[in-house]
Order: sequence, then structure tokens, then C-alpha cells
Amino acid sequence: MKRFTALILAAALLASGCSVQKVEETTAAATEAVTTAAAAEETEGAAEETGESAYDALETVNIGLVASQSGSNKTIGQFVINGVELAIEEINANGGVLGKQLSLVIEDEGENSQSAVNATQKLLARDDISAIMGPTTSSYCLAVSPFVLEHEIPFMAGGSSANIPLEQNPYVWQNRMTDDQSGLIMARACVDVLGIKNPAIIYSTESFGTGLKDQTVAALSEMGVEVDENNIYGFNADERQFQPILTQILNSDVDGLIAACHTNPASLIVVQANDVGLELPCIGSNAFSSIVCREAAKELADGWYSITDWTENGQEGRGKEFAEAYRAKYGEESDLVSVSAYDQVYILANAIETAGSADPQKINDALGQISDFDGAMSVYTYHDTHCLATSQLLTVNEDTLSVLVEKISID
Amino acid sequence: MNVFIQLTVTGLAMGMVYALVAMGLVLLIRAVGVMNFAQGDLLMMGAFITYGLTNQIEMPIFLMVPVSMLLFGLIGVIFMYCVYWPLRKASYPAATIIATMGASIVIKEICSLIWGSVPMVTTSIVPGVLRIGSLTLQYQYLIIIAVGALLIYLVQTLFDKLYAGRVMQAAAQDGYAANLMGIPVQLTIAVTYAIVTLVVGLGGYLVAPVFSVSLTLGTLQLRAFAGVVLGGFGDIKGAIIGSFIVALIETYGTLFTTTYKDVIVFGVLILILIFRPQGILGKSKIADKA
Repeated sequence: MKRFTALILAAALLASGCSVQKVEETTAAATEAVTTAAAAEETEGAAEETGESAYDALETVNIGLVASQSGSNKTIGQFVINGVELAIEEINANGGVLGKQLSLVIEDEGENSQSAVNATQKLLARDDISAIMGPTTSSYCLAVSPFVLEHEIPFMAGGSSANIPLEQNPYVWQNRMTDDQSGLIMARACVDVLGIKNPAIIYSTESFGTGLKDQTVAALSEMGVEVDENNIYGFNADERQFQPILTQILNSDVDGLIAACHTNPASLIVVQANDVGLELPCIGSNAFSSIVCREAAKELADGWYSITDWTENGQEGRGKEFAEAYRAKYGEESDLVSVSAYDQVYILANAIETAGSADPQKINDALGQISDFDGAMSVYTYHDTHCLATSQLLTVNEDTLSVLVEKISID
Repeated sequence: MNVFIQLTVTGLAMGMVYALVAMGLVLLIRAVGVMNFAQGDLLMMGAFITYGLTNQIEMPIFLMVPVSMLLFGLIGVIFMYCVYWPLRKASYPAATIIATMGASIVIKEICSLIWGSVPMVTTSIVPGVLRIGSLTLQYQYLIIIAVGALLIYLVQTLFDKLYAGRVMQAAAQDGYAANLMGIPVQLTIAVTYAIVTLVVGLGGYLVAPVFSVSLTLGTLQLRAFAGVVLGGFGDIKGAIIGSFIVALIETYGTLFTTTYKDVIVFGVLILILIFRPQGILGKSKIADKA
């Protein structure tokens, strides 16, 4: 018993020693923080005196990124991070921007809008971030938009919903074509390439899917193809069971299937369409040509057409350079979100150079001057909607590869 | 008519999957009084483990089934000792329930670390479809119905007919009295967790060819929760019936609306809670079930 008591006392002494050490460490850290804050204030004061922004006094130009590092969207997030890191590595190897190195701060988007908002707010709370690149899910981009407006910092949205420009947030930018433009291209491909006259539409009911469905239906109507309301099927974003919908489509008189959703349901739709024996011409949103969908569904995804911003095959110029550089660095093929994020970094770097400053407001103003900027995914030009892309691709999956059929420009 | 029959088969198969999850939920509620929010994630893990054994280690099915059952049982016991046992006497009664929510995230991240987050397609146990005229039924759905029914029968027999099951029921009803009579309560709880994980893990194996092996498989538990409430909280037969009702409403609901089918399912649930709060087979007091 005495030995046990002695052990307890020894442990208590050790713990108190640790506490003392911890207090000392905390004090040292606090002192350092006060010194750093004082230095930052001095720099800021000096910057104000010379008329420079405090951001220009920093040693690096810092860019924030919100990408999934946990949960079911982790793979998508890794594709985004890979694209961003590749661009930053290339830019820094070529001297950086304004003679400084670009630096990246990543926060975890998680797998719901609340975690995306938290991650964005964490970046917005810092006073050394010049611009932020946002989530790939449109609804998350919409969720963070008010906070971006409040902090007046340029925000490159990863989503492509047509609802994002409707917010008219002067700090939110998109480098992918919005769904209203995709809907027009989707309708053209349906009628002109696949010869569909009476399609069924299956779509996810969140922002992206609904937007693309509405725009496709409207564009088809203008082309003389009316979609029967009974042939339009919405589903929740977390839906897994598509057999009841596909069974009804199979037993209807439609001559083609249009699908609009994100990656996770896309692979399930492909697999379950095959399970029920659906043999109609099928065309889907970019998720259906994504590497994640093709890896999941393998040869079952063959024959699916897709309206997308990117395919790693059949590229020329900057697109080809990116595809090769990505393959060399990561030993795998790139995804749409990789090239989109890669181009976002270059667009921001170009804006910083144009602005001659890392100040968020000046960068935002410079983004409004972008014209015919050659990216890997598209050629970017300013539009009033803040959507910069000018083209999209029609692809088809063959032998588990996404093959370019046609590049379609809208401007 | 074809659509109706196909939807019925799909609904019954889905009902069977929900029933396996719901039955496990009720067993745990009765044994330790804990609602397990990681139940769907145990199903997801079952899908990943059987995928790993079948497609990555390339184990033949006759070997894979007993190996995976052993693994599921072991995981169930580990789950119990990590998530329930240390917190069973916590002063805050909801601690064990909150712990299952944490376990849900941990299980998902472990699977993500081992297998990645890209969904994986696995082949059906018996590929192909049964054709009767213009009617086509997938063998996988028929297998889900058959194997699911067998598992439910075995668990029911264990608890209703066998001595070991009665011992477990006794420990669940009054742990203190059972302990005084020489029943090893800790062991019976561990065995209950093992059985629950085994059943739900095999559910994951059955459902994987239909829904792919992915981290989002766990979302199926929401419907199982609805089944448990609909059938009568704490009643195994009620939970099974409730699960089938949920699945059939969900499936037939797509004939009227696909967008709002969840509204129909959970609308019915709300109505049941208003007019028969104890559920379809539930008694007026949960204590009566203990």
C-alpha cells in the first residue's frame, strides 16, 4: 500500500512538474505572440505610411483553399489539392508572383455545408489570406457566399451552379461554365449527336442538379423537344436506390436518358442502369465522365456521354501540358476538379500580377479585367456574371477512358 | 403490372436490409439500452471487409463467409469494449449514445484510410436476372430476401427457443438479478454485440453488389431507425415489420413522386407517432418489453 501511495505521489509530483513546464512554455509562447503581433502592427503601420497594403508587406502571398480531407468526398478533395499544389509549384519555380512565393493554407471542407462554412470562416478570420478557392459543391459555395461578401475577399467557387451568379456577390468568381450554359450544350448534344427526341431526366434535387435539369429542359423546349413531366425524376443527394426510378424508365416509351448529379450517385446510376438492363443512349453531367465514376463503374460506364469541362485525353496546348505534368507528378490521371483548381491558381496569380498587389480588393478588381487568358481547361474572359470559362466538352466513355468528341464554345 | 412486381421485389429486398439493421438496433436497445448510431457504419464496414476478402485477397466464398463472420464477431466485441463498456456507468446517461456517434466517424475514417473513398463495384453473388416473360428480377435481390430471412429466423430462434438466447434475454431484462444467478452478464453483452455486428456485417455483404462498396452506405440506417420507431421501440418483430413497411412505402412512393418520397416515408412515420406513439406492435410502456 505504501509503495502504491509513493507511486501516486511521484506521479503527482511529475504532473506538477509538467504543469510548471507547460506554464513556462505557454508564457514563452505568449511573449512570442505579443512580439510577433507588435512586429505585424509595426509592418502594417509602415505599410500604411507608404500607401501599401498590409498584404504586400508579408513575406509570401497566401492563398486559402477549402477542400475535403475527410469523409466520403476525400478523394475529390485530394484531386483538388493535387491540382492546386502542382500550379503553386510551377509558379514558384518560375519566380512566384510579385517576386514572392505563393503559399497555400488548406482547411478541411468535410462532407456537409456546415463543415464547409466552418473551414471558410477559419480562413476568413486570418488577416494574411489574399484570396480563397472554395468547395467543389455548389450548395456549399452558396452557403459560404454571405461570409465572403462580409470579408470582401476574392473567392473562386469550385461549383458550377447557375444559382451562384444569381447571388450577385461581387467577390465570388467561377472558372467553370455554369449549368445554364451546360444545359444548352447538353440539349444540343442530346438532339444533334444522340438523336434523342423523348428523353427521361434523372437529377439530384440539390442546387447543381436542379439547375442543370431546369436549363436542359428549357433548352430542349426551345429546340422543339418537350420533356413529359412524368419522365422527370428527382432524387435526394444521398440517395442510393435508383432501381425504382430506372425500372419505371425502362417500362416507359422514352428514347434516351439524361442524368444530372454529382459523382457519388453517378456511379450508382451507371451500375444500377446496367443491372436493370437499360439499353438507351445515356448522357450525363460531368460526374459521368469523372475519373471517380469510371474507376468505380469500370466498363459499365462505357457508352455514357457527358458534358464536362475536362477530359485528360485528346487535349492540346495548355491542357496537354497540364495532363502530362499531373501524370508525371502524381502517377495517375487528373480529374475535372484538379484542372479547375489548377487554373484557379493561375487565374489568381495573373490577377495579382495585374493588380501589382496582394491586397484582396485590388485582386478582385483585377479579376474583372481578365481577357482571353489561356488556361488548361478553357480560355478565360470576364463576363458580367463573374463566370470566366468560354467552352465545354462533349465526351464519351470508351474502354474506361473519357474520350473527347467535340469542344463546344459559347460566347 | 411488371413495374408493380419489380417494385415489390425491390421493396422487399430493401426492407430485408433495413430489417437486419433494425433488428440489431433493437437487440442492443434491449441488452444495454443504447441506440447505436454507428449501426449503418458497421454495415458499411461489413461491405468493405467482404470486398477486401473477396476481391483483394481473392478468398473463395466458402472460406470468405466463415472468416468474415469471425471478423465481424470480433469487431463487435471490440466495439462493445471501446464504445459501451467504459461509459456504462457514466453519470451522464447519454454518454454511451454520443460515443456511438463518435464511433460512426471513426469507423468511416478507418475504412477510408484502408480502402480509400472511391466507391467500388463488386459482382453479385449470383450475377444475372431471372426473366419471366417481360418481367426481369435480379438474382441479387432474391438472394438478399432469402439470406436476410434466414438470418432473421436464426436470430429469432436463438433468442426465443435456445437456452443461450434465454440467458441473454435474462441478462438484458435484469442484469443484477442475472448476475446473482450466476449468469456472466459481461459475456452475454459481448455476445450480443458480436451477433449484432455479424448480422449487420453480412447485411453489408448482401447489399454491396447493389449499392457499391462506399463510405456513404451507412446512410441506410436512417430508414432502419424509422422502421424501429414504426414497429414499436424495443420490439424485434415490430422493427422487422416496420422496416418492410418503410421500404415498401419508399418504393411504391416513387410511382407518385421520386423527389418527395422521403416526405411520404417520414410523413407516415409522423402520423404513426401522433396516433399510435408506441408503434405498430409496441406496448404502451417500453418497460413492459424489458
